[in-house]
Amino acid sequence: MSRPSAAELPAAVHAAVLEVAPEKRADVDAATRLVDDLGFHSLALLELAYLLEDEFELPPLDVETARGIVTVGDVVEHVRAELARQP
Amino acid sequence: MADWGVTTPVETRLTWDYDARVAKVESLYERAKQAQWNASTDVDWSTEVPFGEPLPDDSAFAMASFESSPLARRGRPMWDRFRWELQAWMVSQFLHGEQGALVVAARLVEVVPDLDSKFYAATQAVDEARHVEVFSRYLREKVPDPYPITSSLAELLHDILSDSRWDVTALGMQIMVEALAMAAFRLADSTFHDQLIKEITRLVARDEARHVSFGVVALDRVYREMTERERADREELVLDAASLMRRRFLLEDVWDRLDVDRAQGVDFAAHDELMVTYRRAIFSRVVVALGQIGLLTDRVRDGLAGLDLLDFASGRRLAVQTAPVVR
Repeated sequence: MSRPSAAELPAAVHAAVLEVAPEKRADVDAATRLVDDLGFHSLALLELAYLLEDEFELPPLDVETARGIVTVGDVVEHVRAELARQP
Repeated sequence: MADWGVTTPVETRLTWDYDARVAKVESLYERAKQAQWNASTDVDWSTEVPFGEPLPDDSAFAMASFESSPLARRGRPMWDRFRWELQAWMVSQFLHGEQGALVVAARLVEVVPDLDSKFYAATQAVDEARHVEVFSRYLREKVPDPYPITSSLAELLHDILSDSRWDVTALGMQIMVEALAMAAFRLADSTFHDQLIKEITRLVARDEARHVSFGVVALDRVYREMTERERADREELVLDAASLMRRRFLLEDVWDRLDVDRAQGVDFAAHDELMVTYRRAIFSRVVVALGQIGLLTDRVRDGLAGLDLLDFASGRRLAVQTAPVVR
């Protein structure tokens, strides 16, 4: 996938999150919680991690970083930070 | 189980061209040299493993799985026993697989044609020796009753080691076995229950990613030039290996140890949503690696779908993207 612009990034991440969310919701925003609001469990979280790594060519997410990701907004910020590190 | 001897004629290759370079493999070799770790000193072996102790609740998804399992009628403590036994079984199979990977890496040193690949494979042999060391020590010191190699993994290793074609050996080990292990390690934080094995798998996973990358780089070059007939042979191997790996995760040995009727246990593992999703998850990196080497053909995709191994988001997208392409 070509790299999304800063403005396009949230929508691209939201779409990925909703594709693999165990519980679908129409009103996803930055504050939506992955586990508590969208029913993510460990397998679904791995599915999301792989999807984002493949889509945006990100390095594998390490356990410590993963533990700090709670909301959809956290996911967007993680992807944004990783993309900023790339040449 | 008695020790094994597998007799396979292989062509040992030497090259006198010391200048030729394969840039991607050279880069992997450099990364491998920099990323070495020591199983004796980089792992805190004093960490206690409370094997068999009660565990915190699983996710709602996992608890629903327990409620529909043959273990439910024996109460919640049985679920915790199953979780510990599953960990012991998985680490045991990692160990046996790593020994297979050790001898395969050593063979690759002999049979790969170029010097950079020999250099890289030599580092992988050292990696695999370290993995055998670390998993065997964990099981010896921390787990009361490890498991022997499960029959489907034994059959797969035998198939891989019996083939004299180096690319088939590499395909079986570097792509099928290593990519599956890589994904299983990513789930260690939720599937394993002590800090020591989580730390060990975190270290091992760093090496596995490199091993899969080498398989992709080495095999992509080879498979692009193969005839349809040669490719069909490799497709066969992929589907046979996938079938064996799926069978392995029906957990026959675990059901036997827990005195669960084997047919009931296997039926549960085959159809339970959590178990199916877990197999898809650990198979997802195999699917991606197959796509990267041009082996996610219509036949392979249909075969994997038939085994219910394909429907994980990244693999699913890749399968859709490659659907019209037969290379």
